[in-house]
Amino acid sequence: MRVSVSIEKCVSAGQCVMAAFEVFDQDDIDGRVVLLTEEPDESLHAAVKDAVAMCPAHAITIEESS
Amino acid sequence: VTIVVLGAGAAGVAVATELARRGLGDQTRLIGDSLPMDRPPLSKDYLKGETRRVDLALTSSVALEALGIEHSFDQTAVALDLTEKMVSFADGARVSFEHLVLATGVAPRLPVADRGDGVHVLRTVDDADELRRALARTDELTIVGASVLATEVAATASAMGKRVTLIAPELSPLTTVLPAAVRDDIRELHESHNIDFRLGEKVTGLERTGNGRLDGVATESGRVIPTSTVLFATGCVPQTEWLEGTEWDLTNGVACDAYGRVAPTVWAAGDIARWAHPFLGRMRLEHRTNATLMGMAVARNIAATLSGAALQAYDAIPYFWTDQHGVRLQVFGECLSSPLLAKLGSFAKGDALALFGSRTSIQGVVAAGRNRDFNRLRHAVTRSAHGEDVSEVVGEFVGDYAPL
Repeated sequence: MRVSVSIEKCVSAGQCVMAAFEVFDQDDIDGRVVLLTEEPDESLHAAVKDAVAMCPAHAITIEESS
Repeated sequence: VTIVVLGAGAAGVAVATELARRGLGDQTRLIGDSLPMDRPPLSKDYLKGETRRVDLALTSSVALEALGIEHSFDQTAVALDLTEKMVSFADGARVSFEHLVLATGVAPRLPVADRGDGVHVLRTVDDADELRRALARTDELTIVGASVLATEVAATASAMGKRVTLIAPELSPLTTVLPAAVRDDIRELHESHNIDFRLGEKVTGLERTGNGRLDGVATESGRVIPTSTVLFATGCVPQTEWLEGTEWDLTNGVACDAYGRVAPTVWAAGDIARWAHPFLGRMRLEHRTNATLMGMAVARNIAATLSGAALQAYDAIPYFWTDQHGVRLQVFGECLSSPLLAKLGSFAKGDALALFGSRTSIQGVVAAGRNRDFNRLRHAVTRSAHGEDVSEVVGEFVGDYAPL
C-alpha cells in the first residue's frame, strides 16, 4: 500500500491521526496533515483505510500494490 | 439482503462505502435526490470561486460501481411501508429493503414566507451558485442569523469586498455553539473586519419595491435595513415529514438508540439522527465529521446484525471546525455547559486555547492554531469521558488559581 496526502485539501480535522497515529501526524501550528510513512506496515492497512474514509476533505489517497 | 441507504450526502455515502468495505457492496443501494456533494466549502472557498464544483464530489459513479454499489441520485422518497418493507419514490418507483438507512439530512428553515427575488439560503451547491451570482451583482449582503453558517458567510463575503450586515435575535454571534469566552473574541474579529452586527433584532418581513425587487429587511423594532440581497442562515429542520405515518419519535430528527437503530431493521445517520449517545445523552449534530463517523458506525452495526456479532455504540465526541476571517477554530467536546478552566491567547488573533470542565476531568477544548496542544487536550477530553483522571495533562495548561 502506498499512501499520499494533499496538504491543499486538508482541513486539519485530525481524523486521520485518530484512525492511524502511526502513519499520520499534524503540523504543530495549523494542523495540516504530515505523512509519517508512505508505505505503512501491513498491520496498519485497515487503520489507514479508516483514515481515508474518515477524512472530511478526501485528502488521503491510497494505491494498493498488487 | 438489500440494504437501502436513503440520502447521498456525507452520511449516506459513508454508510454505503463502509458496507462495501465489509463485503456488502453488491447488496447496497444508495439512493439520493441530488449528486453526492460536500458542503463545508460552500460557505468558504466555493463561494469565493476558489474551489471548483468537481472538487466537491463525495464520490463518483465510477467509484461506487467499482464497489458494487447500485445508485441513483434523482429520486426522492415519499412513503414508507414497514409491513411490506418498501420505500416509494416521487417518480413512482418502489424499492424493497431488508435494512433501511435514513440519511436524508436537513433543509433550511426560513422565518419569513417570502422566497422571491433577493432571498437566499445556503445548503446545496445550487444555492451556493445562486448566492455567488447574486454577490457578483451587489456590493452589500445582509445575513439573517448568528449561526456558524451565518458568520462564515459574513467572513467570506467581507473577504470578497462586500459590506456585510448581520441581523439576529441573539445578543452575540454563535451563542448556541461557542462559550462566551470564545465568542467575544470572535465578535471582535468580525468587527475588526467591519461586519455590521444588528443583534437583538428579529426579522419580521421583507420590503419590496413596486416592481418586486428586494429593497430591505424589516425588523421587530420597526427598523428597515436597506438591502438587495439577503441570506437566511437561520437553522435547518430534519427532513422527516414523509415519515410521519410511523410511530417513531420525530421530535427534532429521527430518534435512534446508541447503535443508530430506529427499529430492528431501520437505522439513521448524520444530520437527521437524534441518537442516544452512551455517555453524553441524546443529541443531534449537523457537524461534517459526525455525518461520516456515524455513517461508518451504522454500517458496522448493520454488518454485525447480519453476521450475528455484537453491536457497538456510537460514542464519538462532538467535533467541528469553522473558518472565520482566516482563523480556523476547532471545537471538541462540551464547552457550553461546562465552566471555563483556562483561556490562553486570543482567538481574534488566531492563536488561542480554551479549556472547559474541572482540573481532573476536562469536558471540552476550543483552539485556534496551537494544534499540538489541541490534539493532546482532545485526547484528554476523550479519556475524561471514559472516567479517567487527566489532571496531569490539564495541570500543564491551568494555573494554580483555576477552579477545582
